[in-house]
Amino acid sequence: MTLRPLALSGMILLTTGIPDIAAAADRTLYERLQTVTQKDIGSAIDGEIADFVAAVLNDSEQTVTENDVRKAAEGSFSTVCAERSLEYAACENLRQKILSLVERERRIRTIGRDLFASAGGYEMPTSEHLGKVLSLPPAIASLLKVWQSGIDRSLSPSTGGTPRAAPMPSGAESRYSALERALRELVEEPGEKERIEELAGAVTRYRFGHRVIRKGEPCPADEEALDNELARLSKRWCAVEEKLDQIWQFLTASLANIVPPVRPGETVFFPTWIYRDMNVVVWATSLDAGLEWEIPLEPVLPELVDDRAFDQCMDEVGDEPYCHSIHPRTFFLGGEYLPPPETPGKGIGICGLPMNTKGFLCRPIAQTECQKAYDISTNAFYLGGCIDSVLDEGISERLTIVGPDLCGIGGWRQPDDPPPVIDTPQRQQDIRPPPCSRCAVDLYCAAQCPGGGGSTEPKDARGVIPLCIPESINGKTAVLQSLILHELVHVQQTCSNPREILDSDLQRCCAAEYQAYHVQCAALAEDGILQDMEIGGRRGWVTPELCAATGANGSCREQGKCSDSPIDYQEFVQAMAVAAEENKERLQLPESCASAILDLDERAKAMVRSLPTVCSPKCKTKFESTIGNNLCFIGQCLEQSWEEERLVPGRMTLNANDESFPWDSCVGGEPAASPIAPSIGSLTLPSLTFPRIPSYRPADIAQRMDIALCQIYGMPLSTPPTLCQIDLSRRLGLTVLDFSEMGALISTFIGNLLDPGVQLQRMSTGVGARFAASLYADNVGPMEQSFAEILGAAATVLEDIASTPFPQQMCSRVDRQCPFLAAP
Amino acid sequence: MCATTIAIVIGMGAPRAEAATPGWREIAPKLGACTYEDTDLFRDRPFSGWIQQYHGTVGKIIEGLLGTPTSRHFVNRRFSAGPAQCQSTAPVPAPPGLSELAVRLEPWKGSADPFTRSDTTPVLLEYLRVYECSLAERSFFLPVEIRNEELERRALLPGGLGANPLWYTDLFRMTFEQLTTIIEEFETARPTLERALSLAGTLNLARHFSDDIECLQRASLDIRNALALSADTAACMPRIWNAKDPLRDPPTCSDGLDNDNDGRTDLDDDNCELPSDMTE
Repeated sequence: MTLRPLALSGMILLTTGIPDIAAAADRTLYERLQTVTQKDIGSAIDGEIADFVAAVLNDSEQTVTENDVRKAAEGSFSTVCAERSLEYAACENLRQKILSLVERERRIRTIGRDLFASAGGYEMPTSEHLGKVLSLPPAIASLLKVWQSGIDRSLSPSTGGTPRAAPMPSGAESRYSALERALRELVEEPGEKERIEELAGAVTRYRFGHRVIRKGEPCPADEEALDNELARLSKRWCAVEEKLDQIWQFLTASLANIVPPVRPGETVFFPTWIYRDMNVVVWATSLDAGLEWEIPLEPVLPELVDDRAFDQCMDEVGDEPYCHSIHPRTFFLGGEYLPPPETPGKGIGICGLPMNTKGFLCRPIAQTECQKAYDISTNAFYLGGCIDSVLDEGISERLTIVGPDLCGIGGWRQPDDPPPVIDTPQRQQDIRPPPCSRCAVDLYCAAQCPGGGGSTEPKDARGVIPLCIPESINGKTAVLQSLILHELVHVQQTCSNPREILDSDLQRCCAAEYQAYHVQCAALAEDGILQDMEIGGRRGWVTPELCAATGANGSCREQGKCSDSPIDYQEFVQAMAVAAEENKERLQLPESCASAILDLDERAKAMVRSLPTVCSPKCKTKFESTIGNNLCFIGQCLEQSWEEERLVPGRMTLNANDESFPWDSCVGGEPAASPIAPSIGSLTLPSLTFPRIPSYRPADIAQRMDIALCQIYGMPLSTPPTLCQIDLSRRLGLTVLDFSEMGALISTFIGNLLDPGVQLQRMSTGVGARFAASLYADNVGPMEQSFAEILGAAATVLEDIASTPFPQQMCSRVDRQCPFLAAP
Repeated sequence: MCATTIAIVIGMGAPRAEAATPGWREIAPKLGACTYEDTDLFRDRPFSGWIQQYHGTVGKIIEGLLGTPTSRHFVNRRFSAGPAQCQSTAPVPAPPGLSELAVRLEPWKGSADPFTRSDTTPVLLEYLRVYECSLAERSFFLPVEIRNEELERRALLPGGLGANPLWYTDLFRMTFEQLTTIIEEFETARPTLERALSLAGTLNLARHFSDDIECLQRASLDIRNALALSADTAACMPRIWNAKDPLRDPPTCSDGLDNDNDGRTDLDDDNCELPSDMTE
């Protein structure tokens, strides 16, 4: 048994870095919130709003500048009127027009920011970047590492690789400084009135990394963004992108010298860098590097003014009046709702991040215990869901010949002594089961195997199970890797059991084939092949469970039907072979049957290693010390005892031969023996009681709030409901023109603040917090329940071991009169 | 209004009132009103320093909730409460600066009880109320306040009031400026604090789960190690069970011994009905 240090145990320490003091000039969260609130409510209005309002009101009759708008908002518009010799009525008319427009645009932005703060706070703990405030995924990944058994990989596939941390290599600072300069270029008017629309766009654009956007190509300087108010969502910031790429190249190059070397499938996390005064962090892994807010405060707001042509002209010519006349600024009137987001695909968005890709958002989870507690309604989108059991009623997923067959399928043991005989693509006569095993496997290649695909043959007299692998499936060889996994499951199933369990009736056939296909499909999903399978003209919709059910249907078709899978078996086999072939180069899949056997997949090796019994004398068992693997070992020991050893004389277990122990009949009965099996019955792996998959409904929350707002104001429901608010007069939202209005304002502000609608609007972030609380409670609670279950089971096992009675005298129960013993 | 807001701004835990501090319930009616005493944190200071004093204090406490940055370049923060306390039921300590502020506010004046993180919301909202009360009190008599202050200040300047007279135009200008500032503060201070408390509340809620996971992780390592020892023990089990059958003690009623020392052995003993009985 080997104790291996956890890969993640040192992650947090590695990211701590050398303590020093933050720069005094860094703006705090509260100061940033002040700035945002002043933009929303106070006299300091957004520069973009000022531009927009000026552009809208600027016509042949009157000239309105950005400065005029600012002065109106600040309450000093009278100076503007005086300069232009406007009469009082005209001045007041213009001022009201400006303030009305400003108020409308501000209102939309305030709601946008509140929603962003709500959703951002909700999502903040899901960040997987090391060291971020309350980053939960690294802790959960570390927790899973302690709990998982090796067989989880076979039955519960995940992609993204094993996480690992690495220190920041020396020399990185200059590259981060270069990125900082590029980001600073995006901030206009730094300080309290800073404009960070471009920065917000860049942070959002590269939130999931820059490489997924570059796709291996350099950033094109002239790439066209969307030609509407959503332009920033598709824009690329080449300077930022280049600097991010330089950082990523530098960091990944440093991995060449890391000790121990990075293993295939490992994802390395680097410490997260921060520019505190910009509230921006830079995350980097061995897969990608990107940006994120430290605390999410500023969303990407709709663009109001399109001045790209004007800016380009200014860059080229530099003559403002000329550029203004040739390329006048245009503005976007109105807007459109984006379609609701779709479930993210493989490697897209959050599913491109190593840890999050293991989550339910990125892969469907079949879970019979999953509660369907949602009311599917409009105005909500659901990124998660439950999948019903895919097998027909009455068809079990388990063989369960005797006992729970704990950890019998899949591989959880590590390599030990090399096998005495290396398996080759030919039939071999010199292969023998090792002393600790009841069988050995002999993989061999053939042009055609019985049944057309792979074939697991009966165990021969030597104890060897020949396993026939065809030269190709439909002319494709890449799929042979997963086919071997499938057949090895059958080897595991028949190693200690009669071969009849594979196909003696429909139930057994379905159970055996479902297990085998499940391991095969899980491996395909882990490699990303399953997601590339195109069936019925669509890709990426087949889950491992559906894949397994379809396969079981096909393999057991002569006996009946295992499931209601809508997929045709022949199409399924063809699609699997094609998808594997598409990934052949990327995954270095086998070119032939011979190479598949000679260069056996690690998962297949682990399955072969897990064939021997664990508790036989002089047999070594080596595994990584995790809760799951330890339970596999204890469980298999108990099972081996119960099924194969003589627990009570005269009560033979399944596999112990009664005739082998004739003297047992001479031994006195054991009245204290319990007819109940030992604690094996209570020992199972931690039950995967998945928490209720949470719904993600910020849009729903927002709309419910808006409806409530309309009702409070006694207005009919509007679409969008925020219109109820836009029509309201909010005089206190803006400052006043002259001194005479101030008294009235002072007397009314408290009433305004007491307005329930305002209160309701302000509680939006609180609503987000409440939803976040329920989300995490739903997730953490069942985890603790599993923990309690396993503690209980472990306690039972330990108590049973401790309470084993030992005799006071040797062989006291042997009947001295027994004729077998009495005979000389 | 403050009471309502306390209910709205969730996530900072229950107000201190529920921690068996009877005084809290008594002061609740004070929340909506402004009294002369409410303003003493600001009243005797120059108006020019009020904004800095209020926002600086609140900003420091909010920053304390987020945690102190431990590095200039890396994102990590150190929480003032330290690592998760898995076995302690003691409340999480208040962020730095909160206790010092609270004991200067009317509801907690002279309180010797330790403040906790859950007290953050009520204390900051009370501080905001005091700030707003101070602004309101000042605004009601603003020209008078400015006049008194200015006369006092100018009298101390070289030449006294004679050389530094206060003209009505100056008074109007200063009144206008300060009123503008007061209105701006009225409009922005409360939404800013509410946003900050909401964000901090979200973080605080998430921190409970983060602490739970940390504790679960530590416990998991313990149970993993215990199970590893169990696995070592379990390796012997088949052999033990094989061995123990022929070695097991015979039933008490057929072991040939007078187990209860009553002079009768095995079936001769009234308590034995069958040789397999275990009690003599």
